Amino acid sequence: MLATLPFLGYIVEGLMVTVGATLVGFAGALLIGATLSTLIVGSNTLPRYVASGYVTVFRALPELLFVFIVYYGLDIAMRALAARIGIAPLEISPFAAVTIALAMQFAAYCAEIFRDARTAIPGGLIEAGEAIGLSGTKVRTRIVLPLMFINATPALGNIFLVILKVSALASVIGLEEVTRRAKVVAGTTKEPFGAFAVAGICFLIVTALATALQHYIERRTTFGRSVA
Amino acid sequence: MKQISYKLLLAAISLAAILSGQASAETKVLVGTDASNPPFASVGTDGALQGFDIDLVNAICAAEKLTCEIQNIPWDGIFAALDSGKTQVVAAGLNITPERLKKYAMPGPYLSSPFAYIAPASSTLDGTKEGLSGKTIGTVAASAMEKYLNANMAGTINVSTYDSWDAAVLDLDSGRTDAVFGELIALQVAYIKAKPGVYKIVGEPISDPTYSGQGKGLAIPKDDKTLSAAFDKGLATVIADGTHAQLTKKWFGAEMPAK
Repeated sequence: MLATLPFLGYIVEGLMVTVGATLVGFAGALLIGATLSTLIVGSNTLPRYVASGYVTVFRALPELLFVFIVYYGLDIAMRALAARIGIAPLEISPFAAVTIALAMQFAAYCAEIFRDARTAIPGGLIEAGEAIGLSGTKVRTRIVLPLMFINATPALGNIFLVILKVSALASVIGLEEVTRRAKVVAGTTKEPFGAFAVAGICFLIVTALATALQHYIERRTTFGRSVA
Repeated sequence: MKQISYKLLLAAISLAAILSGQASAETKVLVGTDASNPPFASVGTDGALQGFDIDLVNAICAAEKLTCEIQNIPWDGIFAALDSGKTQVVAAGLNITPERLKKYAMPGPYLSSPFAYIAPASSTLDGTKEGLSGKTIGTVAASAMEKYLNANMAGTINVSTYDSWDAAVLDLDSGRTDAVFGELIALQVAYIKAKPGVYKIVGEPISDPTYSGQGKGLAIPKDDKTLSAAFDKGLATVIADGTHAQLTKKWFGAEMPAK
């Protein structure tokens, strides 16, 4: 354990990357997920099928596989495209690859969560809004969306934690996040237990903070309902 | 409804565009290594890369006046990174093998490195083929060592493969394998010297012309002839001016020849 201590800062620094990738991935998943759920409940047939297909495909793909597809596959595709239209190819950094992969993959789960959260809104509330003369947009922004987010909070909290942990997959494409750094330190010090224990504690701390935040949000949004 | 969804879609697309990063304009030579393999490559407490391969690459780049950036890439993905152009040179204590020479130019050799078995200090193994019969031997997947075992010891021993030497040695510690088959110099420095009295080399070091006899080299895709020529020349320079000998003394404790 002693040989690991000098590397503490190096491993903990990786936490910034882990949290950064998680936050960006989560934000992307929320955005794409909300879009998908809007399309799924929408009245247009084609977008509805496309969105449902997206959800089916991405819920089925293993995360690791998709990280590889984005990191190596997108790079090859980009270069082919760049060669065809004659521009310099964009390079996909490991950070970009993992956030794109996480956002696209978890968007499928978020879409399902949002759809359920939307169905759980009592129809009477929407009718009440219409009855007092709110426009369609106002009903959506003042009633449907806020209630949808409130309903979705517990499930989204779960998704956040899953993304946090799945972001460790980024270590296989060389993103210098906590897990990768712990592995490098384990290799350097020959004290795998110490290095991985530090990484484990890092994850525990972030998880505890995220859970506390989630509970706070849930407490603030229980108006008019019984607290579980 | 439609408007909102278009806006969301637009936001998602622009997010993806921002994330995909910028094309690099500078002409840097990207060199990939896996920094969990001391003494070839590891990290210091400040997170900076260090090791024999790191110093050697820096010396070659200095000799050839190249701007090199060393990247820390996991071993599992290091050849994928080389093939997809994410890195241009791999310097990860690679053994020169005929199979790798088909795909890559391999400037070198910069170290000769016979193979050896290590086992717990209490082990009764003698390193002979008969003595190892029926035993389970750990090694790193896709390494020249694994290929040697598959070619020469198939049917005699069980081979267990890992993604790193540490993982292989951890399973040795736990008793799931009887010995680990690796490179003499790496095993010497990383395990035997680091933990005196815990492990020992069993049997004689093995030199095999197909798998280890050609020593260690760098790997550069064959198309990149300018770069491999520069590394060939740079390596010859650092070997000739004594830098190489000095570095082997620094990292392996004794001067070692390149061949």
